[in-house]
Amino acid sequence: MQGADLEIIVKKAQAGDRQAVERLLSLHKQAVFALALTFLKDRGLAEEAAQEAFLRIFQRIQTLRKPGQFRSWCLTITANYCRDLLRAKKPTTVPLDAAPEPVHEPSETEVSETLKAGLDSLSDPLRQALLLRDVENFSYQEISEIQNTALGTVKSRIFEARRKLKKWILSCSVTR
Amino acid sequence: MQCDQIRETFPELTAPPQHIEKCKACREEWEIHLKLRQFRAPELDANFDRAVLQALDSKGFFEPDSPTWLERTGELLQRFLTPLAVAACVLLFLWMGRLAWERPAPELRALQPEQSKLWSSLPDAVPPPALPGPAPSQRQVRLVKGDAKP
Repeated sequence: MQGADLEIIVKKAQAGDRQAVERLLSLHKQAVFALALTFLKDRGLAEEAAQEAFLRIFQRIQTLRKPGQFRSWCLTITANYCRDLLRAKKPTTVPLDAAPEPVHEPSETEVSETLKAGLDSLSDPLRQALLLRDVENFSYQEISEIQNTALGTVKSRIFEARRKLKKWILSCSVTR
Repeated sequence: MQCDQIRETFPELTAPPQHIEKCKACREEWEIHLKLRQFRAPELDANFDRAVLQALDSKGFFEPDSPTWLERTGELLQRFLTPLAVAACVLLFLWMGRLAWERPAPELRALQPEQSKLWSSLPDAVPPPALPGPAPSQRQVRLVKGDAKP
């Protein structure tokens, strides 16, 4: 979508236009949900968090001065909300038979367990940066705003994550 | 194009780049990338949109903006001052009507100055009209006033 079109839609949404809100929702829900999923690692929680994030987004949309930056503004609000959730979440012991669902539900039935284990072995910032860039196609700039860090740091995190993941896969293939 | 630059384009590609046919390292990266794509977030259905819109509805997001304090004050003033203004206009109208009623008639106002003077010089107390019959004698008058000698 062209920047000018997006600005018009955002301005309409700021005026309370229902169709504009629906359009923004359909354009950005997947990115917001994917981001929440990289934080919360659970589909149900991520979906609830994405809904709550959208409520916050539209309730604060009047304060958005630059409508062209709607997407990055959305993602920042979502990231902050997920961080608040994680901060408020108390550590609990989960029985083994009620273990949480995998980080990302694969779209295909054949899942690379090695890859999943490799992703789980990465630290949260590395795993999140890699997933957002390589899987969800977020820009480096967006990831740097989400992770609240410098662009160079994001690039080095993604590089490091790829290197570690490759090393993990190679080590697994050697041991088998 | 450098290998790093080509790898940066992987997330946008839908088909494998030609470069991987001659570069083993990039082919490995591409295979890992394809496997990583399996971890893409699942698609959200229409229920998600509906839930968000319902929640926004319940919070009154789509209702027109509430009036500002200036608009509210203006509305209050209008509500209370309009009847007062109407009442004041009615009273003013009545008062002016009364003034107009009490004013001398136009034919009196149009009198000559001497006659106007005559009008304004009339005594407040008008003497009683004369009784019919002959005028009372001096003695009768004195008897009425009570100073007649017996």
